Amino acid sequence: MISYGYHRYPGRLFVVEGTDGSGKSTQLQLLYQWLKAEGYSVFFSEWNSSPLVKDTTRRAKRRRLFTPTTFSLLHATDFADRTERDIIPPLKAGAIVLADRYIYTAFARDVARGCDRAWVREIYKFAVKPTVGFFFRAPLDIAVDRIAAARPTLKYYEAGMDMDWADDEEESFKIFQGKILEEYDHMVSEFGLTVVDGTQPIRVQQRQMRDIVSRYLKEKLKEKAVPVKMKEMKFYGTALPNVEIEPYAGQADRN
Amino acid sequence: MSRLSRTPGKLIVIEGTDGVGRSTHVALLRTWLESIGYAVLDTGMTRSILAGRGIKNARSGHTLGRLTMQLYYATDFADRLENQMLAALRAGFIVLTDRYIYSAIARAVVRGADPEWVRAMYGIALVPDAVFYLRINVSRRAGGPRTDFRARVWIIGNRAWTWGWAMITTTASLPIRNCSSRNSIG
Repeated sequence: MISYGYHRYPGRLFVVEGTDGSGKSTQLQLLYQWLKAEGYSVFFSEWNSSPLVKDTTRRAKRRRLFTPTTFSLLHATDFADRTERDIIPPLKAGAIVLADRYIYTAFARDVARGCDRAWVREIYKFAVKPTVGFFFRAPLDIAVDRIAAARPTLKYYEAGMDMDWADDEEESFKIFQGKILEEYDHMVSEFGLTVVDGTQPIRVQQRQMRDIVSRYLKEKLKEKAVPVKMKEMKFYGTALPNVEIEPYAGQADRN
Repeated sequence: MSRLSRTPGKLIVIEGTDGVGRSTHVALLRTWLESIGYAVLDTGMTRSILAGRGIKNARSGHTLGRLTMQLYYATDFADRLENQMLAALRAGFIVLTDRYIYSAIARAVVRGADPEWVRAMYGIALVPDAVFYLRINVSRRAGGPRTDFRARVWIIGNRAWTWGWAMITTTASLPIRNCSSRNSIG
């Protein structure tokens, strides 16, 4: 098994990470539009979107079947399926893959839920190391406010209600997000994540992001991703057809 | 793997390759144990409430990738471990499991998974009180398209005696074999 850090695919993988409400999805969608306009072949992979695992996850969330261990393992299953279908094939073909949340989300959440740090990292050893991992850092109160404004109610696992930290959902959510943020902060140096200040104006953040991404782009990437060649391969990943920038619409299910 | 910290129950594992008679022995042991007054829970691969159905659907409908399959099985195992086996052991049941992590590890390794990775994944498991490895010569078992795969799993399984398992060769007649596992449990 090729493990984290040893991949040499011709494509590029850019991932965004951060707590809920940090603005990462907005930024990734803006980056997507720009790369498309520049003529690159871009594929998109979202957290929790494998067709093989989706029904199981949905049912387990509804019926509250998860323990921290099974929550972790089922998300790893989902991620493995996406790695094998949506991430590695385009990277091999020399395309650009954008991922909204990556292994660091699992590291942050699962450890916040009490899973062993080393164990969770070992499970995700097969992951492709991203070209750049952006971490959108927003202070806890700003992130919590953004989520509260966007969603009428918090979901059970999203709020960390399975952990019995607090009786109140909002209180539990704050505790959970605090623990997650702490884990992210540890990971910045551990995995060399690129920190973006999520409190800056959207355009400023996007400029920084494009500046960094452009260092890893070459004209060759455009040639490699010849449309005909891409069509021959079967991609299950959906390159977003029309991106509307509505940061939180429909996102709740995937978190 | 962690040792059970004095749960009143017992965890008994029946291992062995396909077609070796595992489920027959589990059924016979269950009947016997219940007849002498022990409460029994029996479990086996893909029987979890969480992931059992998902695995079956994934295997029939789509192409299931190698890594994805291993992780799906591990999820199934973890759910049965935490929600069925542990609960039963705490309540004083005898848990009979048709296959355990050893099968899962052997199969994954034969399919090309990194042994260290698979072992680490199943590091959450509990050390069983007894493991019975049902053994049969590869040539004697009903053949099939996956004979080569089974043969390789069998070779890995045969090293198991070094781990202190009870080995039962299933070429002996059924009553003899079942008696032999009963004696080891008693």
